[in-house]
Amino acid sequence: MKRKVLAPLLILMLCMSIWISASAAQTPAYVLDNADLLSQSEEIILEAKLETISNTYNAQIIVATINSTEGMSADRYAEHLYDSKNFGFGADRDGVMLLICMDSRQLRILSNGFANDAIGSYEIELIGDYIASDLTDGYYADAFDSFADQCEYYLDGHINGFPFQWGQNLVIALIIGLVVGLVTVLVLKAQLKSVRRQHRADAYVKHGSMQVTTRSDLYLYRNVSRVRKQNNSSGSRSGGSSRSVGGRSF
Amino acid sequence: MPVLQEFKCPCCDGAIEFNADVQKMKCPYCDSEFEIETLQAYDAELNSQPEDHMAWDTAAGKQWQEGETDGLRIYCCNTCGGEIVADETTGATECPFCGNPVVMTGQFVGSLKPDLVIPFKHDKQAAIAALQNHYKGKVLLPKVFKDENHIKEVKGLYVPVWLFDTDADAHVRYRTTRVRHWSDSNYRYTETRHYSVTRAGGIGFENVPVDGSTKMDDALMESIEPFHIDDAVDFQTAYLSGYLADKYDVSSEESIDRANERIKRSTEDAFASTVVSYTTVTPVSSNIQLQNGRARYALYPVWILNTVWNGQNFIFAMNGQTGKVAGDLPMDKAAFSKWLFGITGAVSAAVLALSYLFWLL
Repeated sequence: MKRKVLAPLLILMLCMSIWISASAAQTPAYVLDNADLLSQSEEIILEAKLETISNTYNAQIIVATINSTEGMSADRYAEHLYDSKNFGFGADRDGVMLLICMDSRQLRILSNGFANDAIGSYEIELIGDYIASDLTDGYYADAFDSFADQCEYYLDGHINGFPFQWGQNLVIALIIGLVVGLVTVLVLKAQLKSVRRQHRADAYVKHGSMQVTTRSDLYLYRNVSRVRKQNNSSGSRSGGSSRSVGGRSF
Repeated sequence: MPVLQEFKCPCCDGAIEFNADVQKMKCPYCDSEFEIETLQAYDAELNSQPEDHMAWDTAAGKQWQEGETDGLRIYCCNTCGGEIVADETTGATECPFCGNPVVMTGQFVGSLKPDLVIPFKHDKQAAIAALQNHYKGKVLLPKVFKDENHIKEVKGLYVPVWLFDTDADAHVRYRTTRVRHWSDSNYRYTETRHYSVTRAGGIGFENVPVDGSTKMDDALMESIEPFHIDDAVDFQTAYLSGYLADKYDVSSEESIDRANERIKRSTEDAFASTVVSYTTVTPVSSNIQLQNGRARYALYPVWILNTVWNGQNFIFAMNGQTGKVAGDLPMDKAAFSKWLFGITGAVSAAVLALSYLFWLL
């Protein structure tokens, strides 16, 4: 009887240990440094930071580096990587991924699910511009750290509201106030001056005396100029409304 | 010695002057009112009587040195006999001894006679009240200027003016453009169509005024325009009585350029207003030809008010016909700073508060 009870218990424990080890093997990755841009210690620090932010906001933040897009466009490769690695948390696969393509020196940022609400095309453009100079200079760890901070800023702002920017708003308010003040006092100053020469004789035109006898509107020529639409820093939505991909060169 | 004319009251023999309120000659002593024509006829009757001849030979007093009287005219007051020394262009003034108004009729005879005069419609009190009104609503005007301001002098002055009538034939050419924008998936396009536009025709001007006196600031005189010629009457010296008047010292030929400037500008503007539906309009050439041009000589009524503040002289002019006042006023620098910083602070605080409210929402 005792053996009959222990046997299923052992089987259950075995199954649990297998499941736990399988789960451990599927621990979400946060750094995928295929281009080997980071040292071991930098990778550990970044991994820990991204994991903390990801767990705090329930959106997986990933940094991936590659040497080649294997013939695909950077946008396409970013989507391919995100989908093939099954990145993102939850059913909607909420997450943000930074992809660095070293052959074409392109950066792409992809946001998916809930994270796309916080980090849309506009924010992707801002983040791209923010970290591009560090990437250009080869400070990859700093650039990835800034990327993590920016993701945290926009995700936190989306959930809890952005903090009021006193300094920035004060400067804008002072500029507006100064412009309004200057215009007002200059109008008040102009009231003091009433002596002006008259440059026209409109008040002395004989009523009904004006007659236009010749009206000629001769077409001469035309010229057309064209300007290519900018697509260097572009943000595009794909996969419905829950995903944005964008980026720039560095 | 040139001739002076004073108009005497037929009732009390007092010096009589033109009254702007009743538009008649009115005696300030006995309040009798007379039509100008009546007084003219009465005056002519008096002048027809032969004068007494009692010649004296007195060599007392020194003679004027040569050149010393250049630009001066000496008159004798018919009432008190006082000697009136006046500028060569003075046409009407008052005797410095008895205060009676006198008109130098010799300044307005022959070719010097004005064609028209617009009589005063506003009196001295109205001019002073209008100046006080001119101060109102000027927040940067020093308060002490309003409070301590004492009007030093108020003069009713007939200003000599040349009036130009002409028909202008204009031929104006413009370069114009129409701009259109569109885009496709790769490019933004801008199309600019260029045109040569010509307008020609005629426009008439009448009574364009040009200041005929160097003593009167041209800008100040133009600032109190317009004067309405409908109220003008044929010139009679009686209208000058009680006011100051100058004869012109800028000839009509010298004034033509100023009239041309104003007529040309207005003509170009009038024809430019017929060039519509273009994105840009740039005048390329304009040819203005004036025909049937003529100039007339008129006297316009102006009240001149002088005031001194902080050692600086401020001159104001009021249109004696319409009551329009012009004259630059001093600025309170402290008030300027106070308003600038006050408005800047208030608006900045309001903008900051609004942006904070929006952030809260």
